[in-house]
Amino acid sequence: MSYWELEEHGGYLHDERKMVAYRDALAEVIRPGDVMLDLGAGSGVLGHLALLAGAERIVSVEAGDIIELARAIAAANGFADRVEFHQVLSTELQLDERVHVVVCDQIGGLVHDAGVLGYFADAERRLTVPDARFVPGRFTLQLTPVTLDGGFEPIERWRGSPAVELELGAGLDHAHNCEWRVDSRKVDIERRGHTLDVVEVESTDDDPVRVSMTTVVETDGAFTGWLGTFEAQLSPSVALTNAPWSSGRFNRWCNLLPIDHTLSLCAGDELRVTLDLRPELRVVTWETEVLTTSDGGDRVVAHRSRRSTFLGGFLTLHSLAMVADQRPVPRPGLAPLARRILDLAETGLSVADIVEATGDAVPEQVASADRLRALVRSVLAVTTPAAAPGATSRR
Amino acid sequence: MPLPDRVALHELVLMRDVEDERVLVHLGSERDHVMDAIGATMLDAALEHGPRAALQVLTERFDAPVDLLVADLERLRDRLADSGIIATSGGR
Repeated sequence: MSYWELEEHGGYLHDERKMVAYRDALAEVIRPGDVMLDLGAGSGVLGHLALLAGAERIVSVEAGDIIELARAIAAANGFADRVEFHQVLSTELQLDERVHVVVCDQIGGLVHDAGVLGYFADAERRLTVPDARFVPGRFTLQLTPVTLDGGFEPIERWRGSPAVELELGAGLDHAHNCEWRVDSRKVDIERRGHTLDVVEVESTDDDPVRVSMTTVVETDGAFTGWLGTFEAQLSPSVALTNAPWSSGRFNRWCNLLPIDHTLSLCAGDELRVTLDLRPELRVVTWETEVLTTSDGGDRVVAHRSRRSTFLGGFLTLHSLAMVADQRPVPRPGLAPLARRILDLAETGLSVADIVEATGDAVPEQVASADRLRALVRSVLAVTTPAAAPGATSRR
Repeated sequence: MPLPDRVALHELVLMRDVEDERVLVHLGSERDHVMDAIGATMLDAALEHGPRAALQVLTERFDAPVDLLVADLERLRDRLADSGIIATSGGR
């Protein structure tokens, strides 16, 4: 529990458009006697709205300590006996009784990035009755080519610092491969073309998405990247969007998917985008092509870039080793050392003991303790025979 | 199977270097793969020059017998092709 949680959740409570939309949607969706799962409940306000709409009980799931506040608000408003609180991730929740309705507001700027699709998919598999109702029930993911005047400051900072003379290109490369949260109330955003409704997904569908679309540039100007937004269908007649140019928008960040550098576009140019979402990997990849007309009248690709959060996130061998613990790993090809590790494992030694026992005889390329521990864990998790030199697989 | 003339990364594969290892992710299979520096050097040479032409480069780089390098390249190619990381063409 901290000041920023009070700031964040206080902001939700005062987002009138959002509160009215959820109130109206729950009034439409809830049936008498329903038990509703309030997933990522925060201060518990959506559960309260569901009770007012006729729900019998609420199962309130919140992993954070703000659940203390939700309990206090429920007690102060006289519905503590109708709310069951669980301080746990919803993916770890076990219920004796399945619920009829699930509500969740953990919706990212481009939907996927706050986890709602995965949480809903898990809830549908384990926690709900057949034909349960989900709020929201559907999402439309949208991309719009935009100009951010002067670029996007958190990215531009990595071009250099007036205070310190350092080569910062590595940071800039990471920055161009990140999906950035943009508060459209604070940043001047100009559209360069139509908003593309890239894909519609059921809110319980966390399957990979790969879609390509093309839009035509409407006016001359700079191109900073794609602004990711969404429309959420909360109920048959209530929708909510975070698109900055929509009169019905609520206060939710948008996602900027940048290109390599700001480009100058001419009206009539074509922009082609391929969006690739991999919820399981938590990787988003966006490919951009700018097609312009040559002097000879042919359509030519003037710019092509591929950016991915796989390349934007920081990664070290230490963190890879942590991940390797959780994944099935085929046998690596570092044959002599791998054989020794397996032999030691068969004697019943622990990972730490094996690391210590092999530490004096490892090849030069496994010189650090972290890397040796990662290798030992990988070898002990093997499931298939070795193949190429130096090649291992971690999933 | 002999070495092909050309190899290319599958269009759904992304790769990056982490310290001195190479991490590749196949977005289609949603699997990630790790290669050590030697494997990465061999892959880079094969992608740039084609596996058969890469032999010359790698022979000079590693000062290793050609037969050994051919065997290593074939195993690397098979493993990466089986994983869908690369596509090959033009083998003789």
